[in-house]
Amino acid sequence: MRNLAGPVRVLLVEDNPNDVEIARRALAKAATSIDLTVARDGQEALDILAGDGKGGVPLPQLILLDLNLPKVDGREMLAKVKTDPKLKRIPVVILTVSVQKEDVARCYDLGVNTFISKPIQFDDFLRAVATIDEYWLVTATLPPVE
Amino acid sequence: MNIRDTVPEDKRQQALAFAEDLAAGKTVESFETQRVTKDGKVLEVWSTITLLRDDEGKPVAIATTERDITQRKRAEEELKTLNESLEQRADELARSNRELDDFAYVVSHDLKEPLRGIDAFSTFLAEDYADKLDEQGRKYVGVLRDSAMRMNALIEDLLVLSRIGRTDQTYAPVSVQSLLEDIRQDLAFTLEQKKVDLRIQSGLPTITCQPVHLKQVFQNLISNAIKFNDKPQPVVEIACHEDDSLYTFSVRDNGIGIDERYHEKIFQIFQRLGRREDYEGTGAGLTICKKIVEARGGKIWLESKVGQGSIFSFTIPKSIRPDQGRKEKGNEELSGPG
Repeated sequence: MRNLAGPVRVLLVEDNPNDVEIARRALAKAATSIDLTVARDGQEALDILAGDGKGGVPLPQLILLDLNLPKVDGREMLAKVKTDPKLKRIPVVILTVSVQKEDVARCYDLGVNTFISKPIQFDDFLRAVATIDEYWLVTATLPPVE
Repeated sequence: MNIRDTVPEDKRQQALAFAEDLAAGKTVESFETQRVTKDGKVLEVWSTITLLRDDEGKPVAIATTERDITQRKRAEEELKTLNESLEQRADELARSNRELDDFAYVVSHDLKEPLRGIDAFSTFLAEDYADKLDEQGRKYVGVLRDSAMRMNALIEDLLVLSRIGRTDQTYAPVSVQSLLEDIRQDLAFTLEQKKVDLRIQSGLPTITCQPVHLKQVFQNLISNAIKFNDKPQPVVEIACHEDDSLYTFSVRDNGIGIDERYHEKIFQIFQRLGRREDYEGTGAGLTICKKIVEARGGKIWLESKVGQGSIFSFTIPKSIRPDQGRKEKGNEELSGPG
């Protein structure tokens, strides 16, 4: 249904170029048409998000966030997004190698919507992305864009 | 002989004080002190002093009995020092073991990272350049992916091993009977496919342990018993023997058996006896069993001869040592590898 309304804007925050390429390909295979913006660190992502309203790009409808990032790292960026009245409605999916309990707990405390550990095998990664697509971009109703 | 000759300077005050106490009618308990011999040697002594009185009850002299306890004191001190250094060494060993486990854990995570790239990009290569690659080229890409996945399996095993030393699941009473029935369910497909006769002794005990770990031990031993078996009908028998202080569990099979030369070696990590193309697996299974059993204060061993099957046995003490069940903070994994 959402496809009719045009591609869904997704912001991917990921510093590893290989992982960007992997995510890009996996998202390209997803059922939903996606308009992907990539930020290479937390600061760049915050700049992109702050650009809205100043003639910048419209806000993303979904954020895919890695935790270990240079400059502003994923935890800090998540905290900023989830405490900013303009941004806190945007669903954030953590996509990371970390499986540490404290990271998972902290992210949920900060208000993350989903926490996913990056699978090693590309086929498994594809399945994880397909699940994100199926759930967030097809099944769930995203918050209204203002 | 004057008191000055035998009492070291720093004990003179004490000696005089006791003498005065006695003279005043107080009782003085036996005490430890030092004395000096004629040739100037300091002795540790156990001293008892009493007041001697004449017939009328008037104090006339002080009698002292002094027993040389220098040897005993020295032995005691040596023992104390020895105990302290032993304790210190045990602490150091525990710490370095913990550090090793932490190291394995951290390194494992970092090592896995590049594997994702290798797997993904060899997939992209196969997908995007399929028409440019001949059969040989496609085969090479397959080998790349297989190797990456094999490395992933090795690292996963390393993680499992490091986790046994690092984290503590809670100890809980576990019915070994139902735990084994669970494993029978888990392995149902393999058991049927390979026509395995899995015999589980009835009346197995309930023991206190870390349930996931104990299950892993049985799972690994049973899987091995099936894997290294060339009989048309593999038989795997599980039994338990109870002593005053421990349970001895055994997993017996009618498989290919193991040459005595390798009985120690097979418990070392990544040691495999079979060729990789014949038997899959990383060679970490028995190492994991050993670490789990030893962490619970038990032992694991095998009796086996080539062609005559194997019996793997392990003990679980009925009591749990206080140092078992220590808690480690942070870095705990959420779930084990699949």
